[in-house]
Amino acid sequence: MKKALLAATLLAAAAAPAGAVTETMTFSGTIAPVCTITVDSPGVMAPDSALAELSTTQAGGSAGVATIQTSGTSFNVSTTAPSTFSTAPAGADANVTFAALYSATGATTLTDVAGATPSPLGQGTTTLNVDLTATKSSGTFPDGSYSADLVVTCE
Amino acid sequence: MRPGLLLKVAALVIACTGQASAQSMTPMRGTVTSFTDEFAVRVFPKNPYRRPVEVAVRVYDETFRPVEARISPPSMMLAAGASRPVVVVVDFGDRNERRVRVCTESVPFPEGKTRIRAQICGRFLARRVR
Repeated sequence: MKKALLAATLLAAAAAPAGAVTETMTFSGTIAPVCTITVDSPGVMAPDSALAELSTTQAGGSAGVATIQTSGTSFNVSTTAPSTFSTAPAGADANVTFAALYSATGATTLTDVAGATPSPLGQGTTTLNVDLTATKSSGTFPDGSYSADLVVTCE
Repeated sequence: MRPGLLLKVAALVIACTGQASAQSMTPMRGTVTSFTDEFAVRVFPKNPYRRPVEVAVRVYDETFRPVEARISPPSMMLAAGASRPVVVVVDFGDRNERRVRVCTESVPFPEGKTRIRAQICGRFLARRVR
Protein backbone atom coordinates (compact mmCIF):
# COMPACT_ATOMS: atom_id res chain seq x y z
CA MET A 1 0.00 0.00 0.00
CA LYS A 2 2.80 2.37 0.88
CA LYS A 3 4.46 1.56 -2.41
CA ALA A 4 1.31 2.30 -4.30
CA LEU A 5 0.95 5.68 -2.59
CA LEU A 6 4.56 6.61 -3.33
CA ALA A 7 4.17 5.69 -6.99
CA ALA A 8 1.01 7.75 -7.21
CA THR A 9 2.75 10.73 -5.66
CA LEU A 10 5.67 10.53 -8.10
CA LEU A 11 3.33 10.23 -11.06
CA ALA A 12 1.36 13.24 -9.92
CA ALA A 13 4.52 15.26 -9.55
CA ALA A 14 5.75 14.27 -12.99
CA ALA A 15 2.47 15.10 -14.63
CA ALA A 16 2.22 18.55 -13.07
CA PRO A 17 2.68 21.33 -15.66
CA ALA A 18 6.13 22.97 -15.61
CA GLY A 19 6.24 26.59 -14.56
CA ALA A 20 6.90 29.03 -17.47
CA VAL A 21 10.56 30.07 -17.62
CA THR A 22 11.98 32.87 -19.77
CA GLU A 23 15.58 33.48 -20.53
CA THR A 24 17.15 36.23 -22.55
CA MET A 25 19.27 35.12 -25.46
CA THR A 26 21.91 37.79 -26.20
CA PHE A 27 23.37 38.31 -29.63
CA SER A 28 26.56 40.23 -30.06
CA GLY A 29 28.40 41.75 -32.99
CA THR A 30 31.31 44.01 -33.70
CA ILE A 31 31.99 46.46 -36.47
CA ALA A 32 35.68 47.06 -36.82
CA PRO A 33 36.76 50.58 -37.80
CA VAL A 34 36.88 50.59 -41.56
CA CYS A 35 37.22 53.11 -44.35
CA THR A 36 36.59 52.41 -48.00
CA ILE A 37 37.53 54.68 -50.88
CA THR A 38 36.02 54.26 -54.28
CA VAL A 39 37.39 56.41 -57.06
CA ASP A 40 34.40 56.72 -59.28
CA SER A 41 34.73 59.41 -61.88
CA PRO A 42 37.45 60.87 -64.05
CA GLY A 43 39.23 64.10 -63.43
CA VAL A 44 40.24 66.07 -66.47
CA MET A 45 42.78 68.89 -66.58
CA ALA A 46 42.43 71.56 -69.23
CA PRO A 47 44.83 74.37 -70.15
CA ASP A 48 44.33 78.06 -69.65
CA SER A 49 44.62 80.38 -72.62
CA ALA A 50 48.26 81.18 -71.86
CA LEU A 51 49.18 77.46 -71.66
CA ALA A 52 50.86 78.13 -68.35
CA GLU A 53 48.35 76.24 -66.26
CA LEU A 54 46.65 72.89 -66.51
CA SER A 55 43.77 72.56 -64.13
CA THR A 56 40.57 70.73 -63.45
CA THR A 57 39.05 74.15 -62.77
CA GLN A 58 39.71 75.51 -66.25
CA ALA A 59 36.98 75.46 -68.86
CA GLY A 60 36.71 71.92 -70.16
CA GLY A 61 38.22 70.42 -67.04
CA SER A 62 36.47 68.47 -64.33
CA ALA A 63 37.29 67.44 -60.79
CA GLY A 64 38.04 63.88 -59.81
CA VAL A 65 35.37 62.34 -57.61
CA ALA A 66 35.77 59.69 -54.96
CA THR A 67 33.31 58.17 -52.53
CA ILE A 68 34.52 57.47 -49.03
CA GLN A 69 32.60 55.29 -46.63
CA THR A 70 33.54 55.23 -42.96
CA SER A 71 32.27 53.24 -40.03
CA GLY A 72 33.04 55.92 -37.46
CA THR A 73 34.28 59.42 -36.85
CA SER A 74 37.93 58.65 -36.16
CA PHE A 75 39.08 58.92 -39.77
CA ASN A 76 40.75 61.73 -41.69
CA VAL A 77 41.02 62.38 -45.38
CA SER A 78 43.84 64.10 -47.21
CA THR A 79 45.34 64.14 -50.68
CA THR A 80 48.86 64.10 -51.99
CA ALA A 81 49.50 65.96 -55.21
CA PRO A 82 52.17 64.64 -57.54
CA SER A 83 55.51 66.38 -58.02
CA THR A 84 55.75 65.44 -61.69
CA PHE A 85 53.44 64.18 -64.40
CA SER A 86 53.17 60.42 -64.78
CA THR A 87 53.18 60.80 -68.52
CA ALA A 88 53.84 64.01 -70.39
CA PRO A 89 55.73 65.34 -73.39
CA ALA A 90 59.38 66.29 -73.05
CA GLY A 91 59.87 69.49 -71.13
CA ALA A 92 56.47 69.44 -69.52
CA ASP A 93 57.78 68.91 -65.99
CA ALA A 94 60.18 71.87 -66.05
CA ASN A 95 59.25 74.63 -63.60
CA VAL A 96 55.97 72.97 -62.68
CA THR A 97 54.30 72.93 -59.31
CA PHE A 98 51.18 70.96 -58.47
CA ALA A 99 48.45 71.93 -56.04
CA ALA A 100 45.39 69.98 -54.99
CA LEU A 101 42.20 71.20 -53.36
CA TYR A 102 39.36 69.05 -52.15
CA SER A 103 35.77 69.60 -51.15
CA ALA A 104 33.33 67.18 -49.57
CA THR A 105 29.60 66.67 -49.31
CA GLY A 106 27.44 64.07 -47.61
CA ALA A 107 28.58 62.83 -44.20
CA THR A 108 31.33 65.45 -44.34
CA THR A 109 31.14 69.05 -45.48
CA LEU A 110 34.33 70.72 -46.65
CA THR A 111 35.14 73.45 -49.14
CA ASP A 112 38.41 73.92 -50.98
CA VAL A 113 40.75 72.46 -48.40
CA ALA A 114 44.43 72.41 -49.33
CA GLY A 115 45.23 68.87 -50.40
CA ALA A 116 47.81 67.97 -47.78
CA THR A 117 45.65 69.18 -44.89
CA PRO A 118 43.94 66.28 -43.11
CA SER A 119 40.23 66.77 -42.46
CA PRO A 120 38.03 64.69 -40.17
CA LEU A 121 35.46 62.55 -41.90
CA GLY A 122 31.92 62.10 -40.66
CA GLN A 123 30.49 58.64 -40.23
CA GLY A 124 28.77 57.40 -43.37
CA THR A 125 29.24 58.23 -47.00
CA THR A 126 31.23 61.24 -48.14
CA THR A 127 31.59 62.40 -51.71
CA LEU A 128 34.98 63.95 -52.29
CA ASN A 129 35.71 66.29 -55.20
CA VAL A 130 39.38 66.83 -55.92
CA ASP A 131 40.82 69.62 -58.07
CA LEU A 132 44.38 69.45 -59.33
CA THR A 133 46.30 72.33 -60.85
CA ALA A 134 49.72 72.25 -62.49
CA THR A 135 51.32 75.64 -62.91
CA LYS A 136 54.44 76.57 -64.85
CA SER A 137 56.41 79.38 -63.24
CA SER A 138 58.09 80.03 -66.56
CA GLY A 139 57.47 78.77 -70.07
CA THR A 140 54.38 77.04 -71.37
CA PHE A 141 53.09 73.49 -71.55
CA PRO A 142 53.98 71.74 -74.80
CA ASP A 143 51.32 69.88 -76.72
CA GLY A 144 50.76 66.21 -76.01
CA SER A 145 49.02 63.88 -73.60
CA TYR A 146 49.40 64.33 -69.89
CA SER A 147 48.49 62.33 -66.85
CA ALA A 148 49.20 62.76 -63.18
CA ASP A 149 48.81 60.49 -60.15
CA LEU A 150 47.10 61.92 -57.11
CA VAL A 151 46.67 59.95 -53.90
CA VAL A 152 43.53 60.15 -51.76
CA THR A 153 44.23 58.92 -48.25
CA CYS A 154 41.82 57.81 -45.55
CA GLU A 155 43.40 57.00 -42.23
CA MET B 1 49.26 75.63 -82.04
CA ARG B 2 45.66 74.80 -81.26
CA PRO B 3 45.52 74.79 -77.54
CA GLY B 4 42.01 73.45 -77.32
CA LEU B 5 42.92 70.33 -79.21
CA LEU B 6 46.56 69.96 -78.46
CA LEU B 7 46.34 70.28 -74.74
CA LYS B 8 43.12 68.52 -74.12
CA VAL B 9 44.59 66.69 -71.26
CA ALA B 10 43.23 63.85 -69.31
CA ALA B 11 44.93 63.65 -65.98
CA LEU B 12 43.67 62.44 -62.66
CA VAL B 13 42.06 59.91 -64.79
CA ILE B 14 39.76 57.35 -63.48
CA ALA B 15 38.62 57.02 -66.90
CA CYS B 16 36.07 54.49 -67.88
CA THR B 17 32.95 53.52 -66.08
CA GLY B 18 33.63 50.24 -64.42
CA GLN B 19 37.30 51.04 -64.08
CA ALA B 20 36.87 52.56 -60.65
CA SER B 21 39.37 51.43 -58.07
CA ALA B 22 38.48 50.87 -54.48
CA GLN B 23 40.28 50.14 -51.32
CA SER B 24 39.36 48.85 -47.92
CA MET B 25 41.33 47.38 -45.05
CA THR B 26 40.85 46.08 -41.53
CA PRO B 27 41.93 46.58 -38.83
CA MET B 28 42.73 50.28 -38.99
CA ARG B 29 43.80 50.80 -35.40
CA GLY B 30 45.83 48.61 -33.14
CA THR B 31 48.33 48.30 -30.33
CA VAL B 32 50.94 45.58 -30.40
CA THR B 33 53.11 44.35 -27.55
CA SER B 34 56.20 42.44 -28.54
CA PHE B 35 58.79 40.57 -26.54
CA THR B 36 61.26 40.52 -29.43
CA ASP B 37 63.15 43.06 -31.53
CA GLU B 38 60.37 43.04 -34.11
CA PHE B 39 56.66 43.31 -34.13
CA ALA B 40 54.09 41.98 -36.53
CA VAL B 41 50.77 43.29 -37.72
CA ARG B 42 48.30 41.36 -39.79
CA VAL B 43 45.94 43.34 -41.96
CA PHE B 44 43.23 42.30 -44.37
CA PRO B 45 42.99 44.36 -47.55
CA LYS B 46 39.63 43.89 -49.18
CA ASN B 47 38.27 44.48 -52.63
CA PRO B 48 34.59 45.23 -52.12
CA TYR B 49 33.80 45.62 -55.80
CA ARG B 50 32.85 43.51 -58.73
CA ARG B 51 36.12 43.39 -60.57
CA PRO B 52 39.68 42.44 -59.66
CA VAL B 53 41.87 45.16 -58.18
CA GLU B 54 45.63 45.12 -57.77
CA VAL B 55 46.73 46.41 -54.39
CA ALA B 56 50.03 46.98 -52.63
CA VAL B 57 50.72 47.19 -48.92
CA ARG B 58 53.28 49.70 -47.71
CA VAL B 59 54.50 50.88 -44.32
CA TYR B 60 55.15 54.50 -43.34
CA ASP B 61 56.04 56.34 -40.15
CA GLU B 62 54.04 59.18 -38.59
CA THR B 63 55.30 61.62 -41.21
CA PHE B 64 54.63 59.29 -44.14
CA ARG B 65 58.26 58.44 -44.67
CA PRO B 66 58.64 54.84 -45.87
CA VAL B 67 59.56 52.34 -43.18
CA GLU B 68 61.59 49.24 -43.92
CA ALA B 69 59.43 46.21 -43.32
CA ARG B 70 58.92 42.62 -44.41
CA ILE B 71 55.55 42.47 -46.09
CA SER B 72 54.07 39.19 -47.16
CA PRO B 73 52.78 39.54 -49.81
CA PRO B 74 53.71 43.14 -50.70
CA SER B 75 51.28 43.25 -53.60
CA MET B 76 48.47 41.09 -54.86
CA MET B 77 45.55 40.92 -57.22
CA LEU B 78 42.33 40.71 -55.25
CA ALA B 79 39.34 39.12 -56.91
CA ALA B 80 35.95 40.76 -56.66
CA GLY B 81 34.83 40.74 -53.05
CA ALA B 82 37.99 39.00 -51.91
CA SER B 83 40.06 39.71 -48.83
CA ARG B 84 43.32 38.14 -47.82
CA PRO B 85 45.72 38.44 -44.91
CA VAL B 86 48.95 40.34 -45.24
CA VAL B 87 51.60 40.06 -42.56
CA VAL B 88 53.82 43.06 -41.89
CA VAL B 89 56.93 42.67 -39.73
CA VAL B 90 58.77 45.79 -38.58
CA ASP B 91 62.01 46.07 -36.63
CA PHE B 92 62.03 48.20 -33.49
CA GLY B 93 65.61 49.27 -34.13
CA ASP B 94 66.87 50.95 -30.99
CA ARG B 95 63.43 52.14 -29.96
CA ASN B 96 61.05 50.69 -27.44
CA GLU B 97 58.00 52.11 -29.15
CA ARG B 98 57.09 52.61 -32.79
CA ARG B 99 54.13 54.19 -34.45
CA VAL B 100 53.58 53.09 -38.02
CA ARG B 101 51.02 53.43 -40.72
CA VAL B 102 50.24 50.30 -42.69
CA CYS B 103 48.66 51.37 -45.94
CA THR B 104 46.81 49.50 -48.63
CA GLU B 105 47.12 51.26 -51.97
CA SER B 106 45.53 50.66 -55.30
CA VAL B 107 47.95 50.21 -58.16
CA PRO B 108 47.17 52.35 -61.20
CA PHE B 109 46.48 50.37 -64.30
CA PRO B 110 49.41 50.24 -66.68
CA GLU B 111 47.33 51.58 -69.53
CA GLY B 112 47.00 54.75 -67.54
CA LYS B 113 43.28 54.64 -66.98
CA THR B 114 43.38 54.93 -63.24
CA ARG B 115 45.34 57.85 -61.94
CA ILE B 116 43.82 58.61 -58.58
CA ARG B 117 45.23 56.15 -56.12
CA ALA B 118 43.11 55.22 -53.15
CA GLN B 119 45.15 54.77 -50.01
CA ILE B 120 43.75 53.35 -46.77
CA CYS B 121 46.07 53.63 -43.80
CA GLY B 122 45.78 51.93 -40.46
CA ARG B 123 47.65 53.36 -37.49
CA PHE B 124 49.47 50.97 -35.21
CA LEU B 125 51.39 51.48 -32.03
CA ALA B 126 53.95 48.84 -31.05
CA ARG B 127 55.67 48.56 -27.71
CA ARG B 128 58.65 46.42 -26.91
CA VAL B 129 58.70 44.64 -23.57
CA ARG B 130 62.21 43.84 -22.46
